[in-house]
Formats: sequence, C-alpha cells, structure tokens
Amino acid sequence: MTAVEPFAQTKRRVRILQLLEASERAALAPIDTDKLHAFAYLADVLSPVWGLRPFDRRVLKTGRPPYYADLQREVDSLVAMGLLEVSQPAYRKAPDGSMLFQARYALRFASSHGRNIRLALDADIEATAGQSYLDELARALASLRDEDIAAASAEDATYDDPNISSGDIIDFGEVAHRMRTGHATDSLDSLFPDVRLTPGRRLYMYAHYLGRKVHAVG
Amino acid sequence: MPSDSSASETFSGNATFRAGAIDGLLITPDAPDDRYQFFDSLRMSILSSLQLADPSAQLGPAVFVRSIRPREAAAQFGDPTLVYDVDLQNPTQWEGRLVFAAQHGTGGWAVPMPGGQASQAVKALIDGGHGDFPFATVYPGTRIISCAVEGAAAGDKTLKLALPATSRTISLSDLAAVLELVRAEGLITPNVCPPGVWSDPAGYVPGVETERLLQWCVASEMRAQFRPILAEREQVTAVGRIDICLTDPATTDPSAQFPAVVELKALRSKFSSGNPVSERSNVAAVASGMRQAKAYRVKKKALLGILACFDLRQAKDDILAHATVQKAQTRYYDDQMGVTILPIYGSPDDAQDELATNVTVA
Repeated sequence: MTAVEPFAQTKRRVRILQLLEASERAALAPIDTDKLHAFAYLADVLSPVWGLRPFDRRVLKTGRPPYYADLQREVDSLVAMGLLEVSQPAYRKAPDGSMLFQARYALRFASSHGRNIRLALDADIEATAGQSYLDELARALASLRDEDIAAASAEDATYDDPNISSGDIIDFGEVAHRMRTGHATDSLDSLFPDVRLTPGRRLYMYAHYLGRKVHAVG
Repeated sequence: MPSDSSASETFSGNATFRAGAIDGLLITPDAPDDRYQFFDSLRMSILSSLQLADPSAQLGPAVFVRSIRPREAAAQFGDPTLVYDVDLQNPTQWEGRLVFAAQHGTGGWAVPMPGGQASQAVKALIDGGHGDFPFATVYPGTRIISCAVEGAAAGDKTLKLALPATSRTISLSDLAAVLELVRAEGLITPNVCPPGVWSDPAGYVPGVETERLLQWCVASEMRAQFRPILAEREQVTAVGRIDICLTDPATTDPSAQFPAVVELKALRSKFSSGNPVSERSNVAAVASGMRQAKAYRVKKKALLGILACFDLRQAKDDILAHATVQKAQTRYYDDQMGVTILPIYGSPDDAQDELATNVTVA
C-alpha cells in the first residue's frame, strides 16, 4: 500500500459520510443501496453546476443504474467502524440472473466518533462547500417520487449516452462525455431566459427532467 | 466548456426536458431566506396533498417543524415513521402528527402529536430543545397554515398562509383580491405580520427589510392562488427591476407568457431609522410606481399590470386623490392597469377602527 492510498481512502470515507449527512437532512436516510449509488453518481456528474469537480472521475456503465464498487467497499468499512448503521439487508435477483446485495444505510447518531467527525467537517470551509452542494442535490432528488430516485440516475444524459455501450467506462474527465449533462443544464437558460436560474434551481429542474424521463421510457 | 449548439438544441427542443424543467422550476420558490422557502414549499406540498383527500374526511391539524436531521430529531419524541412524497400522498399520512420535516417540505419523520393537541406539541418542541426551529401548524379544516418563522420559543408571532382549494384565473380583480387577502390575513396588524415588517409598530416605524418581506408575502400568495405559476421577485430588465413578475412557464403562446407584473410600494410615516417621511415622498412613490408598473408591463409584453401600495402610514390620507397621482394615472394607465391601496396598522386598535368604521378599501 502506498502513502497516497490511505489519504484517498479517508477522502472517500469522508465523502460517504457527507452523502449520508445530506441524505439525513433530506429525509432520504436510511437510504437503500441503489439510491445511495445514484446519489453519488449524480453528485459527480452534476458537480459543475455548483462549480465543483467530480469526486470520482470514472464509472462503469452497466445495464443497471450506476454503481461504485469502491464506494460500497468503504460503506461496508464504515458500518464495521460503527459510523453507519445498516438495516433491511437482502439479496435481489438482477435481470441478468446475478444476485445483488441490498441494504439501507444511515448515520449512526450514537457514535461519538461520528459526532467528532461532523464537528471537524463543519469547521472546514472546503467540506462545508461540498456539503452545501450535496444537501441541495439531496433535496432535489427527495422532491422526486421516492421510487424514481434510483432509476433517475440511469436516465442522466451522460450515462444514457447512446454512444456509450454497457461495459464501457464513462470518464467524466473526457470533454465529450461531460458535455451531455453540461449541455442539458446549460440548455435550461434558453428555455427560461427571463428567469433567474440559481445553481440550486438547475439541480431541481434537471432532477425533474430525469424523473419525467423514467416514466417516458418506462 | 466548449460549445456544441446542436446538443443544446436537442435538449431545449425536447418536450420531456421542458416538462421536467417546468416541474423543477415550480417547486423551487424564490424566497428571502430558507425559512420562508420552507414555508412556501410546505404550503405547495400540502395543497397538492389536500387535493387527494376524501372530501368527507375530518382531518386534524398537524405540526411541521423544520429540522436539520429530521430522523434524529423525531426519535427524541417516540418511534418515528417516515413521511415521504407529501405532495403525492393522501393527508392521512401526516394529519394529527408532529412531523420533523426536511427543508424541501415533501418529507420528514413523524410521531403522534404529543398530548394529542397542536398546542401540546409546541410545548413539547420547546421542552425538547427545538424551540428555535421554524414550524408550521396546518389546519386542514380551515385550510390555513400558521407559521412561526422564529420558532416556538419566540412567542405568538405567526404568519398565516391560505390553502386555497381552487386556483384563480389571473384578472385585475383577482390580482386585487389576492393582494387584499395578503393584507387582511397576513399583514393587517403586527400580530400576524412576518417578523421584520415593523421595527416599532406602535410608533409606525417599519423594519429595514419591509419591502423584501412584503414582496415575499405577495409572491408566495400568488403562487398558491394562481397555481401553477411562477411569481419571481426582482426580475431585472433593461428599464429596471420588476418587483414581481408572474410567468406561465407552461404556455406555448408567447403573448400569454407573462400574465401580469406587480409593482409594490410601501408608504410610510417614518423611515426605519425613525426619521419622518414627507407626504411628498409618498406621493412621488405612488406616481413613480404607476410609471414603473406600466413600463414593466410594456417591456415584458405582460397582459396586466398592477401597483400595490402597502400603506404603513399612521395617518392614512387618500393618496390616490392627490393631483400628482391623478396626473400619473391619467398619463400611464389604461384598462389593463390597476392600483390598490392596502392599509396596514401598527396596532390592533387602529385596525379595529378600520373595521368598526367600515372604511372602504381602495
């Protein structure tokens, strides 16, 4: 293990705690596995709306909504550390016949370590800015139909790009791929040129487009 | 980011994209701060929920308190249950409960109402250390939301929001009726005003943010009464800043895109510093308001324009009778323009005097 890896691992764990904090604030927690990964993916692909860089720069496109193996591994670690609590563990059969582990995750409020980490994050300017973004995105997602949230991520303009096949890596660092979601959020201006579109509003508007798309294709 | 106009056109010409964007836009109210945004969002969610109610059902009140972490807060008061998609669910999900709600107003965690009564729930909130959080008591029977902007511990200052059963069409008379509703139900005395409208009500000294709060009260009520509509505050144009621009985001008829512009003026006896305001200043404000309302209507190609003058003066002379105002009205107004004077009082006694003497409101 190199010296960089523990730092990257810590950063990822902090990111997960922030995702779960935003989920708590939006009343999405305990959040199921699919929704958590959907939230993480949309947080990456929509980060330019908030002037931020994506946390993960790559995701594997599969026949199902976005899934980050690294994120899941660290979620499991945080459960083992007592920082997260897990409920309703179950296996679900995927359309391809494979078995998928599902559970619901939430912050474990009783953890004194968790409280200390939260205090440290609240005092960090960069972490606070990132948390504000995740809070707003979580609120936008929570305003969708509950059952549409996970499916919405698969309808994202970049993830749903017909030029990217299942099994391909989506690299948010590649301009062409980043462009599709970015173009969608930029296009909102031409629809409503007279309306003040704050970054928060753009998140709600784009999220509800995805929500509509779930039903348009379903 | 490099431009790719064809990709943008793909989205802007897509009906699903447009419909989803409108959905998102309509549920992101433009508010002065996150407390008012919470009340606005909650009101729109409750309005949608009430439309799904059994008309014969007797629904009890519910208390919604905004919480940073709803699940954690609710757990202090019992074994909470999740409340979600309030706008899409029957009121039975939330009626008769104490709901620790998220900022977006469509979900949270609920426990049975402590003591079975809203007043007991409020006491429990204070006792439980939640007295500083904004909360709203929803009365489905009377279709009113009573909002405590500064929380339960701040006392009895509440803001009342209506839950209209049906949506109005936009006409000059309906615009005036909604403005009167805002005045009569939400502003008429300091007891029902949002905090900050007055700094010293008995002395008729307004607050430093009076106009901003009045804008929100009007915009919020118009969103609820003329739904689905956008009521945008302080929209900037080349000829000035429109106080409230009503936009119909769903119309495809360019001539109907802006049903109305609303210009607001606060007439006052004193500045927020306590220094006196001259009658000439108030007259000039009304005359310039008429000019602005008309200019903005023309600029936006809006169908209607109205000037609403909230009269916070101690001596409420008939300002519309002033020669300068009449001259402005003759010069700028046509049959698509309106003006309304909305008296607001610094004491209940003065408001009672209006009612007792049956003063005709312009």
